[in-house]
Amino acid sequence: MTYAFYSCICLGLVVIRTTIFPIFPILDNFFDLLLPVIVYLGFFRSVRESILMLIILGIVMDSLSGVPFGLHLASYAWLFVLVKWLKQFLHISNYFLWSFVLTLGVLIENIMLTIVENLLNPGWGFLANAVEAVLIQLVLAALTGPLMILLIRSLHEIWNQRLYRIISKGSDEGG
Amino acid sequence: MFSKRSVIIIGVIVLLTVNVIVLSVIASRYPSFRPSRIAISLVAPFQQVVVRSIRFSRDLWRHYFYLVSVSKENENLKNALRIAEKKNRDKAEIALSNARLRSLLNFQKSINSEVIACEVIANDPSSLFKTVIIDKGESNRLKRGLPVVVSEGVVGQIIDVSHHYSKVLLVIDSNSAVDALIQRTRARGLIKGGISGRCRLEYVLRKHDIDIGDTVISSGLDGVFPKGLCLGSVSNIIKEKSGIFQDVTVSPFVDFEKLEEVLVLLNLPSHDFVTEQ
Repeated sequence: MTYAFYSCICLGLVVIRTTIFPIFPILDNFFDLLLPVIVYLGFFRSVRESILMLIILGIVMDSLSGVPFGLHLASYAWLFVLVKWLKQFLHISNYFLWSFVLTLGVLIENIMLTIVENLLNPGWGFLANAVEAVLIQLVLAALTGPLMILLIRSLHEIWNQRLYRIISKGSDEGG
Repeated sequence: MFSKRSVIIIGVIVLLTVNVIVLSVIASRYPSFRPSRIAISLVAPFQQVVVRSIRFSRDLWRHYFYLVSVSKENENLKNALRIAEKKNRDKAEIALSNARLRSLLNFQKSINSEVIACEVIANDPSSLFKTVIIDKGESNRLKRGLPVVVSEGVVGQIIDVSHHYSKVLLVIDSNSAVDALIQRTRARGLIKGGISGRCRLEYVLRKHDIDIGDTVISSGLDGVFPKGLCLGSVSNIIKEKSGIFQDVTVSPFVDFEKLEEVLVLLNLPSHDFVTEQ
């Protein structure tokens, strides 16, 4: 059932990012909305639970985007490893840490994109408006990232509580 | 010899390098993946529902709650229609004279282009890339490489197809390239995606005369887009003191921000000479 929760959340975020955000020009440069999910998985969930979601989310985003296939998958994997490593010696309930990690995630994704695109098309460079777009993404990630992680965490807790109630009700009626 | 920390840092750098190289190789050798089609097929219906709901709400607002300006707009549209009808009559006359001249030269142009109308249901999740998802796929005979157009001009070409949906690379994407001509002077170049929704016309020799406002059309030499489709107008020209090419910026005729319906050309038009009987 946890995977059903992740699937709903991620589907919702992908649909919002690809259909609603483009309507508002100010939101068109928003960062990848699945990065907060990856940070949440890294901080609060086990590797065993997270790994399948990480692969599925990477493939879905690579499929829907025009980026070279595998780029989202690889950047999610590196971000997940980074979060797990930071978790060993930092206090994970610190909101500033969430902001910092999310901006790092945005940077990792964009740096990998630049390197891979430059290897594929040597003349690609990094366009002036791309620098502006990445800066906007970093600021938005720093400001809104912790709220999104908090929201995902709260929704997951609500989901688990409701699920527990339904299961216990079912077992009471059965027993 | 090395500390544990150094070994880990070197290991991470090596892994990152290998990762980036593998990604580049995969992307250059395998531009389309089977799982990619499955993912598009799974997510696109939800995108379609949301986009249709948004458009329905917007249309509801426009048609029922925003009637104040409709009367004025109706008057303007009637005027525009009268002008368009006059232009249409003029064009019909030009077409007739054109047909006479063609038959005089024993030359007949036959265009066997079948088109299919599609609805844009989603934009690219990455703001640096310019692709859209449309609501037709393999089941509608769409395939990779087919050109996508609207009445204003070229939109792009299909780069990935699932059963019911397809991904279109827009001409304003930096990975897009279209062989083009300046309509007035027939100077040839390559239209590539640029910054801020504009395109660059590359490889145009300095000797060619180009003015701001000149129309750029597809040359048909790339084997993807038929000849004569509008691409945009020249908005800026920079001629450096050295170098053999000039730097030309082109503003596309198509408004990619408001792209809702597009046409896919299923079989490209062919221009055949008719042998004299």
